[in-house]
Amino acid sequence: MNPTRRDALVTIAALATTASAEAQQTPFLTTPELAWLSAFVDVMIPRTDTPGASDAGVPTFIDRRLAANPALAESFRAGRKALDEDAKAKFGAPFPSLTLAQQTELLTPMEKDPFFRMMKGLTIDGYYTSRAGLTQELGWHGNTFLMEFPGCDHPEHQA
Amino acid sequence: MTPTHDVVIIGSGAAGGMAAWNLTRQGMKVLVLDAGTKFPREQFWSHVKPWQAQERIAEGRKPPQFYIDLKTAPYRTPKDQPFDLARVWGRGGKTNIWGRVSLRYSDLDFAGAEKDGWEIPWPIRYKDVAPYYDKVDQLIGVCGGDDDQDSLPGSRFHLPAPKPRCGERLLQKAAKNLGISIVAGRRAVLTKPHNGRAACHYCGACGKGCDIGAFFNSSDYLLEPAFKSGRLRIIDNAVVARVLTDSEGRASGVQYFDRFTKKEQQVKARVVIVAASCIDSTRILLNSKSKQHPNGIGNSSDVIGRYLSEQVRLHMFGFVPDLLGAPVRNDDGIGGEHVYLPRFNHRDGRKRDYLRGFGMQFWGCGATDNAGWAKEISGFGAGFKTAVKKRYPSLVALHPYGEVLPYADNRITVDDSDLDSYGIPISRIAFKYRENERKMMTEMYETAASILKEAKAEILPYDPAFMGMPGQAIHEHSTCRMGADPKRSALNGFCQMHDVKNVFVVDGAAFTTASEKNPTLTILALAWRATDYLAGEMKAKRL
Repeated sequence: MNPTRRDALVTIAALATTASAEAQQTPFLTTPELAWLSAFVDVMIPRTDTPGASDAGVPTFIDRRLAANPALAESFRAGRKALDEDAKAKFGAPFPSLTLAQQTELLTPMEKDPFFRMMKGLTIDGYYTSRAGLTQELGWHGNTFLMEFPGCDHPEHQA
Repeated sequence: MTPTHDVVIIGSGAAGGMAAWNLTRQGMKVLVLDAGTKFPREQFWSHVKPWQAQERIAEGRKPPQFYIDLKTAPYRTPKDQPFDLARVWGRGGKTNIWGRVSLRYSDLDFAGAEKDGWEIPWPIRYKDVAPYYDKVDQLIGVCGGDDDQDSLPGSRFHLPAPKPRCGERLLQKAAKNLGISIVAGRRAVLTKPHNGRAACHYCGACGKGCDIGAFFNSSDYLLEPAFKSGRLRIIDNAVVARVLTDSEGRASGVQYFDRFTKKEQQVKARVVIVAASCIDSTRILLNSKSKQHPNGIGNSSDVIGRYLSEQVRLHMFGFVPDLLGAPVRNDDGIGGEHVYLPRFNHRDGRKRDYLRGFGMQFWGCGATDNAGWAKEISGFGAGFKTAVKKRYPSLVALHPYGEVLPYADNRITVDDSDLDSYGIPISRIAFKYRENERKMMTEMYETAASILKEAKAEILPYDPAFMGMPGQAIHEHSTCRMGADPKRSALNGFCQMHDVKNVFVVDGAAFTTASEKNPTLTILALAWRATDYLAGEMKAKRL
């Protein structure tokens, strides 16, 4: 993992640039593609006692990324097709129709697969910057106004 | 005829802003040329949450676009030598979104070359700059500690240091066990009200620009007060091409193009100050060719464009066991790390197989507004979700920065056949790391890993051969360096050209070496010192 300093500085600006700041009123993906995407991201980050990826709006987040990046959209469509073919060959149905156990069996060996990595990455980017993912799941409560910064007050952490 | 200004300044960042402020308050009439316009503070997205930003962008709204695009401002690199150059056109330049780390250089930096013989030392020493560091600290407000070291001088004028976060404390403790000290960081953030400005409210969003100006930026802290003198004029959207010269080879003014209409303009001046940031300043100088200056203005030494020094760095991440699953705290603080690991490699008696040194920063420790690192955590599903949540409060981040030696062929050139849309030759940047950087990088990786191991942290996978992308420290230096010998340097210790007495270069280009430290505080101190000298020379009618 080698993020740059500018990653932190320009993520938002870059998003705005790549999206060419055109309002995106309607989804880029088709309805069946979005349904497939929702199923996939919920396998990545499922609903537990906190919201899952599709609860948190991750499909919309990814849809916007794909709309702004034709190469990424192409990779998504090709990868989806390939995964569905694997699913049919192994279990006789496309990926979203499988049981969680079957989906897990299919994805587990794919940890290093470029499509898997891309989709896992997009899910993480979307989920952990969503209101649900950041505040409910992780408990982030930053970017606010404080009079004082308390810092670490654990005696056992002092040098 | 256009009027002749006392001084024309190219650029309005830390260097140009300081020059404008210091000269106007001493009675000079100053014209600043800036390639952009003011970034309106009320339009900053400082308090827009990540998910809100996504919605706004989907609606077609945009935050301020600080970084200039490559179509407007192209540059070229050899295919196998990428260089990622970040530039800001607009008032205040990069100080709108800078990292704010404000470390004083020491004589280990100024006199390094005297000791190891690599290239030339600076013509000045800490004692020359120290009074100006004091003045800059008081003017802009720098928080920090009084825990001086030989490699990191302290300041009597630091504002209170913010308290470290838990992860930073644990790294401090681990490093101490290894005999390495981590001290209070020094950052240009107002930890209490200062010179009539409000204190930081610890929202941690400095990278998006501060909505209340609680960290130094040249536009609010220098240009606005300079306007009040009535002696400052700024021309916006003025893209400077060349320094113009008279028949004797002295500077007579500046040629620029309107950013949008592309119409050529010229202004006259008694003195020209170049402060367009290292690489663009250098490009302007190299493009300022004339009969007297066939190699670019002030370049009889042929050093201008050479010795481009960036910094080499890496990023290592870990999870400290004491904080796994701990209650999540608001770790925003002043937006960057609250601690700093000063250079130590000159001190422990160990013989190194490389020259110069490195320090370490720690931004991003604790809870942040994303979890990009989770891509490196294996698996998926409910177990993965739990693994991420558990690690989230325990993240620690180590970012060593090392000096890149000056090499004559790490250089910027221009070519009359390679032009931008204004018809000006663009910069060609040829830069690469060498053996010294690779060897230093090895120790940088080892040091970061040893601190994490001592802290019993789980270390996120990293590639110890990865050298990073040149340019991404955004610390370019030395392509118009100062020095005692006019044959080996372009400027004297007051940033004045050896060859052309009425041209001063006051940004990072003037640095003789890069050091491992962040340059802006030193740019401010040197620009203040240079313009004190300039004002004296003008008053004495020597300029």
